[in-house]
Amino acid sequence: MSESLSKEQAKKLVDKYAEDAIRPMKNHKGFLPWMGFLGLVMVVFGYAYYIQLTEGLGVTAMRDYVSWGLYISNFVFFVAVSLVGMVVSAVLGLAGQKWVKPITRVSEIIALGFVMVAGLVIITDMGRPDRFLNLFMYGRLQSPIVWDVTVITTYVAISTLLFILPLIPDLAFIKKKMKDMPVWQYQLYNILSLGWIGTPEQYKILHKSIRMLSIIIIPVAMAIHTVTSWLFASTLRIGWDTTIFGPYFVAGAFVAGTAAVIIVMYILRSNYKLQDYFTDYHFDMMGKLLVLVSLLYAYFNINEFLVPAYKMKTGEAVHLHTLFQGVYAGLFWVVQIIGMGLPIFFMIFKHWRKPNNLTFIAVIVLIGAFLKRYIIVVPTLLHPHLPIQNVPEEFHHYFPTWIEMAVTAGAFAMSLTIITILLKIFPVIPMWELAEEKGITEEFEKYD
Amino acid sequence: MAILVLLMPFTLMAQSDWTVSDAKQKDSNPIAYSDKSVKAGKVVYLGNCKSCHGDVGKDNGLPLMPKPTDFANQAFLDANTDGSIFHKITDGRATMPAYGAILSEQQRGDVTNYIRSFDPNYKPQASAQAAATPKSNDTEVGAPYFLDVKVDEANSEVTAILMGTFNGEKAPVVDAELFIGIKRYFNNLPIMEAGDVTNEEGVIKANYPADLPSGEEGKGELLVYVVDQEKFGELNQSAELKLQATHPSHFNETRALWADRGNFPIWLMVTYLSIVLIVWGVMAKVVMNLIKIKKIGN
Ligand code: HEC
Repeated sequence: MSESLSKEQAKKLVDKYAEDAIRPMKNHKGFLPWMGFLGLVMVVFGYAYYIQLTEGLGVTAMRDYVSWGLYISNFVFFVAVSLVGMVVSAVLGLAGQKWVKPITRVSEIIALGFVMVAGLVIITDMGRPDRFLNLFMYGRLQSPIVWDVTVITTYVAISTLLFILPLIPDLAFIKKKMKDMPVWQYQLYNILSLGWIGTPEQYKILHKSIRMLSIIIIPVAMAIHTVTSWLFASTLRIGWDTTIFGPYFVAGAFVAGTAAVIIVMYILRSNYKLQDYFTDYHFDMMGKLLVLVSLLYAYFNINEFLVPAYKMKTGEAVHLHTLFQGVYAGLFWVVQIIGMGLPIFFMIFKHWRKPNNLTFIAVIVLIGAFLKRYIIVVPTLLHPHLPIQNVPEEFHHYFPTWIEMAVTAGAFAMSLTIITILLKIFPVIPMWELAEEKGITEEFEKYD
Repeated sequence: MAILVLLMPFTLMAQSDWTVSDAKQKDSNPIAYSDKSVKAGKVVYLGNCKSCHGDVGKDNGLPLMPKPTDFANQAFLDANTDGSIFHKITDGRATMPAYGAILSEQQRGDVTNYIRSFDPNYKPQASAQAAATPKSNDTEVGAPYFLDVKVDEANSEVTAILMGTFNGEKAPVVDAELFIGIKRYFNNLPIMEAGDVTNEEGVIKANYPADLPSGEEGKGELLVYVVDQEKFGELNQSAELKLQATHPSHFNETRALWADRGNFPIWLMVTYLSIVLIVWGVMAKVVMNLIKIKKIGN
């Protein structure tokens, strides 16, 4: 922006970047209790999962009819949240939205944390996880499950690259700057920074590579959630058998991911005093982004429910009635109104896009997004085309057991652990990108 | 679903006792009670009613609401006249099908008589000793039992013979239900007439479709067993049948979405591979770039 920064000012600015980037990586008094808490949740998870492994999936509430329950809705949710890495760092970045710069790394970290665990979450749904490899040995190319495995693996790889690449100059910088770090950390930075010396040529290659990844990640991210939606849409089930599912899921993922980024931004800002990077302006813009993607999502929702509800085909009608006024009505309307409608309305006002207010809304939106996945997965399974007959009473409904809830909590704890650790090891502020924007790359590289 | 909702009021109503109009109660069974009619009724019963009402006297009908009545229930037999039973069968109610359009009047009359044959208090006008006779033969012939099967390939006919022991001599078992069928992967294919029972010689005959498609060798396995295991024990026989040899259609070997994994459609493979190659190719290029960066650094 301001090209005429004096040497003095430039040095000061780089000083500030370094300090702000390194501060969150230092020991922090909340860190250990927080990790302890996550560890505790994972211990409970371990116990619950041990029971599930030894006794079988019978310990869940899943039965013959509802054979996909909380676990599969978790999976969809995790995949959804992970999509945000692509929205923020690729779409907005390529669109020339300069303000997203400080947010890109946060969203990449969230994406990584969630997509890595998404793969594990799906394994928790397997009664015999030891047979997971069969998917690779005997999987059919015709099956969307195989496509899903392919695309998720690919997304993990691209996200990792897109996370590591922009770190290179920063790690080289920190390597010089942070003197008191343990040896392993120094080694890690040394390896990952690839002997970066900041020549213009290196910068050129780096920019080109990041750009290539940013472009290729867009179709892959679209694919990751579209294929996930096909796991549903390619079956002949009431409520899933719709052509709109791909974009519907992708739009829903934008909403969930954006909300997740807002929440993490808020936590970083208030815990590590990063107001200068996650400014009110950033929250305002993220709020606008959330309104935009929520409106898009609302549009798909209207199509998804209004069109079949207008026709009320026999099978479809039973399903829609349970959603609109039956057993799932409470959850459904809470999700639609509190989780989507009201947030859109409030966020239109600038006042509600202030950091505190927006974060509050984002939490609600994220919870709504989670419940929404549950509503997509479970009710359909209770409405097979042939009536449910001559089966034990418990087969007629589904409510997750404590084991399923503990495993779910464990999955979240794993994601949060990954995110926390990444935030601890790597600078969350993309220093060189900010420096570049200010035109002080030279000062950044020469700094010592 | 809609049908279930429609049926709701009926099922609720059905919980009260089922009575038919006075006029219908006063009707008599159009088919006179006789040994022959009871026997024919048993065949009708086994073929049409047993699936829900179960074995008479064992109270093992389907667990429906309301429950299909066990006809050995004396309260039922006392409360219903012949006309009442006949009309209930004819008209049906809720899950109980209306047999008026399914069975002939003769068959409905026969099965009414069969139900009546379980009523020790019943005194038919036509033949006074009828109620006692039908099972006389069964009770005399006892264990050990022998089951034998003969296959007549020329006529595609199977003969099953059930013998028992009477005064130390082999004697035919009459009125026993046999299953005669051909083995399949999941459930067996019955070839006997539904509800057929052994005749005076202890014999049931059945024809099998010789053109039944049956693998490359054209071999099938005949299975015969006695249905009432409680009484006869586990008696079964099998024999080899010559059936139509067929050659697999290889439908799952064509390249298609439903085929096995070796037979994915080519277009799918091309699409899949090109997407994977492009994306991973870009990543490979990026990794090469990283190597370049590293080289410059050195
Ligand atoms: C699909 C199952 C089903 C089949 C097959 C069936 N029934 Fe029924 N039947 C029922 C049920 C259920 C009831 C009780 C209906 C009620 O009370 O509303 C019933 C009731 C009856 C009754 C009246 C019983 C009473 O307590 O008043 C008679 C008589 C009867 N069935 C005879 C027959 C005969 C004869 C056949 C075969 C030709 C037959 N049923 C086949 C299910 C069946």
